Amino acid sequence: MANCKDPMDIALRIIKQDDRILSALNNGHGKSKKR
Amino acid sequence: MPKVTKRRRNKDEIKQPLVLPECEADPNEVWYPSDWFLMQINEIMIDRYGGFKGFESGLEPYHHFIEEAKSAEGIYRKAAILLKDIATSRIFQDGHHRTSYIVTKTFLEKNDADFKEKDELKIIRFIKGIRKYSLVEIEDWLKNGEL
Repeated sequence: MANCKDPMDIALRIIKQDDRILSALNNGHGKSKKR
Repeated sequence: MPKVTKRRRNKDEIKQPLVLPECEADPNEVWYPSDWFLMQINEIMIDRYGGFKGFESGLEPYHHFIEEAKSAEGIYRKAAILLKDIATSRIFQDGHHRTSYIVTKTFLEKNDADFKEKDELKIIRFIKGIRKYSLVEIEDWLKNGEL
């Protein structure tokens, strides 16, 4: 099942590659920003 | 005091090809993201894309999600549990959807499985609306890229 790839390397590559998705996921969702 | 010995340059060893250290991952076992990994990803998400840093409820729920994933059958069912549970949790102050997406996609690749959906808009729409999908629907979407 598990391969020898470094999980953090995988994650950092995905973050760079999916930058537009991640930017869009930050719009108007999640917890209330009122403090 | 332990004795310290200095080793000499070894010409025979230098002539040999470099052997990579053995991989720690067991090919017969599933890799699960650690607490440290989850926290790092959340921190990167907040640093890069904004939001509030830190914990809200803390890591306790995450330990239950991992236990639930471990007891589930199939890599896509496990991934569905991680994706939905992290996204709809209150572990952190912010960034749950982004964190769950990266953790789940990494989970699949590390365990040699494909994240099938490639269309960015469809991914964004699905992750934003994750609350309304059942685990079976999320599992199908991860596996086939469609509902």
